[in-house]
Amino acid sequence: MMIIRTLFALALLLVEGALFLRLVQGKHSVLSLLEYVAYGLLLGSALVAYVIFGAALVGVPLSLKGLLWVHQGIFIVLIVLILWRCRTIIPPTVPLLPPSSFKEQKLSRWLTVLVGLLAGFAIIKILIGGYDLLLSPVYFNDTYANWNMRSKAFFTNESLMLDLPAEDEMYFGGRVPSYPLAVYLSKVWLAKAAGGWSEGVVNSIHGAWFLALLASFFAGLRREGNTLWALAGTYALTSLPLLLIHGMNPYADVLMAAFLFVVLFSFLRWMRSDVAADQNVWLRIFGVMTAAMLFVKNEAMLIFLPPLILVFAFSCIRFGKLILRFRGDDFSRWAAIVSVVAVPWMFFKVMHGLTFGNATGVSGFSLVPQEGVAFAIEGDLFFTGGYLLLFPLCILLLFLGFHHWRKDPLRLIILYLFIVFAGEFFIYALTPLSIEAIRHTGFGRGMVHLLPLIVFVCILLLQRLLTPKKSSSLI
Amino acid sequence: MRIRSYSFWRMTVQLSCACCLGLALLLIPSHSFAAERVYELWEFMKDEDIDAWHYVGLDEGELMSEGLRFNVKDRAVIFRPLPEGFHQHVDALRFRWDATGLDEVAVLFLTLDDDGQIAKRFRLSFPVSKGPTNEYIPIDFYRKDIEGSDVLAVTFVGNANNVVFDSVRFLHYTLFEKIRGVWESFADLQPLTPYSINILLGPTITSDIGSYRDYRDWRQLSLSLNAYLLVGIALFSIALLFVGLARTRRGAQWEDVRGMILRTLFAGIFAVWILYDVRMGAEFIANVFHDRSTYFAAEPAESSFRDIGKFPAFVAFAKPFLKEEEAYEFFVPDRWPYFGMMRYETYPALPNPGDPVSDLWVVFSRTDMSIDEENRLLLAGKPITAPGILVARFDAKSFIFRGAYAP
Repeated sequence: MMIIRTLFALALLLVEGALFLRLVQGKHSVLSLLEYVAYGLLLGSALVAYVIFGAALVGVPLSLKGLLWVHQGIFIVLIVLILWRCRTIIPPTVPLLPPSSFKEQKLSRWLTVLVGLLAGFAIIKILIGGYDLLLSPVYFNDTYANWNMRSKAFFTNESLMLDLPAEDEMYFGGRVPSYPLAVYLSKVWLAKAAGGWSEGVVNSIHGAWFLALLASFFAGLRREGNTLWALAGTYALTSLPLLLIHGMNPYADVLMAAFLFVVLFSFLRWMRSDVAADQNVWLRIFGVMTAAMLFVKNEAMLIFLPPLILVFAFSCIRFGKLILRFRGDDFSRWAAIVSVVAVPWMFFKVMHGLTFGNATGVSGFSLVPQEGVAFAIEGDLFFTGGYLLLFPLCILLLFLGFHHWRKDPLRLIILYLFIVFAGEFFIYALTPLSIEAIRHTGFGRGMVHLLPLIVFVCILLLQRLLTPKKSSSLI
Repeated sequence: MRIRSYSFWRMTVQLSCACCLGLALLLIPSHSFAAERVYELWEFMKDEDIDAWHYVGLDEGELMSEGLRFNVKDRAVIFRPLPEGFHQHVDALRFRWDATGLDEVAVLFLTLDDDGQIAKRFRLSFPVSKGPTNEYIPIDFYRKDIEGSDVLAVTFVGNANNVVFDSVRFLHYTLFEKIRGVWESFADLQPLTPYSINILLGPTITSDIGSYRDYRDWRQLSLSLNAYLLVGIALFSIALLFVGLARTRRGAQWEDVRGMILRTLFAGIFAVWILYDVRMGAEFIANVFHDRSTYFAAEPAESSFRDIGKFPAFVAFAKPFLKEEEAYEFFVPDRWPYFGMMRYETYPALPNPGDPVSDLWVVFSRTDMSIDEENRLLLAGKPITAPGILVARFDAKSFIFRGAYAP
């Protein structure tokens, strides 16, 4: 019974996310069914958590009854808005998979065997990892010290615990009270829906988020290439051992990675779209996903949003005077959507004296060069098994594929990655957070956020390098 | 275009198969050459054996069947020039001694200058265990550190009688044994630790075959597989470039040659990637199977989880007794990770991190805590509570006790 109730709770998040995507797209639909499901689960988790947060602030208890009221409200509002805007709930045409940009390749017998073996191996790893995820007791530090601990505190007290004195160790759930609430409140919903706190129940959503990441990634690569390259890329992503470990353990970094990927991918689609209607829809998805991302981890606001504003603004002023005005309008629309989450959340943090930064607040840091950071980071990226050969391969591809990306919108994704990476490097190299790089703790987890984007860029460059100019591109 | 793209994939398939076949071939001789080959043996059997060494801080010694027996006061050093061909032919050293009662034994490789003075020293120290001990030094890990050294010295530190120094074996491994060492280090799967969520070391490569598996901590001294792969890929790229240049000289179009180089290079990298994935995937799967056999599918009494052992079983045992509590005193061997885990598991009952406030004492795996005849809780032999009651016992070192704090 608990399994059925958990699946129902997960499905509800997915449906609400998908309905919200339906509303965001309006009469013009661009997403495939696979993207609806994958983005729907990600967005649903953040959306529901955000509404629960708002409801809890006005006194709705985090009990099953209270949460069902919240869901009911979300459903009614979404359906009314969709009917008002689109006249029908069902979107016009939703293909199972997104369209390919390149001709599909016919697989030889050997290649079919290779694809089958690699896909089989990846699936086995995911299934076996899922088994471990659902049955293991808490083991890794942040699970019991933060993610599950704070969720359990909210679950047990059925409130956000803001009535406690600020110096109480359990104030706002305790441990890292500055963290946004998407992960915690998703877990509270699952546990309440399942009828009790259970590791299997509250951890199951991490496996679902990992699958959502893989599905988003596959769909994204298929849009940019074809099925074979999408399969190769998804295999490459799944094969990264550190990402797999994170995917199959109750940490929030895979969810952060999934959001970051969808945000940047929708940004890329906005840049690539020639049709104004498509572009508008991708812009709205880009905005909604960026807003939702801010409710997952503090890094989103501190590390990922500022460079995103920068590259987005840069992309708006790149297209000459006539288009500048139009793109400037896009920028303000995007900023308006993002501020729906960013402004209230920041206001809430300031009002309650919560810190900015990761687990450690950044306000009191002085900038002093720290020794050993570069060496530790180089060792971590190039000489450990967690990323296989991804980083040297990425450098090689950026070098060899320079003429493919220097005039392609992909360059802004690469620029974004470069700024984020440089930003993280300087944070570690110049602040006491260096210890997290030298001891190989926070730095590795920070890289997990970027892995899908890095693999995505690598696969696209590889595809273009190995495909001559007279290719069978459909765009 | 399709033909070119297809040939990249075909090449990947072929290279992947070749890599797997190569690895399979490496496996074949692995057990046929396992015998230990002694390049030179230094023992203490005859008087000449004693004369072969030099001694500092050691005046007397007795030749016994088990080796040279002597007493150590503060420090004793014995040393001897390394054998001819040591740097070329010796791959490992195995020492045998009985240093019971000493603080430390260290092995030094000394490099002498022209005047016979010590110009450089490299020191490896070993903690002392009780009784005769074998210590193994894989030279492969230290080849650079001991380059050019002339003398081997052994230092005994501390105060003890009847210390025995038995022998030094200089071991030589054949090429096949070294290949086996490389394979075994590559295939040595690492267990999950609390740090695996931050960093996965991955395979490190050494040609040493001796007691590699017994010296897991030394893994970090050997080079990462990535270093070898990156050098290999660089050499492969250069070779491809030469082949490409040779073809253009024979009249081939650069565009075609460039395509050939890129397809071959990335097919090779993809094949290596698959191989690496198989290795890391095997580690992931092996760890889950280990969890299954030792925890999920194990009998409750036998179950043990990773490096926290019986703690999850203890938590399940203790939880029912803590349901009604607001706070309790919690004693564990180490504060991390147990305190945080317990805090999460028993919430809203919280383990108290400060001075005792509760009369419920939860003790896990503490050899220094017990209950005396008067039913008082003892810490390091001293009572810390008034007489109380044993609420439940998990094992000899773990239990739950109720009694008022009485320091």
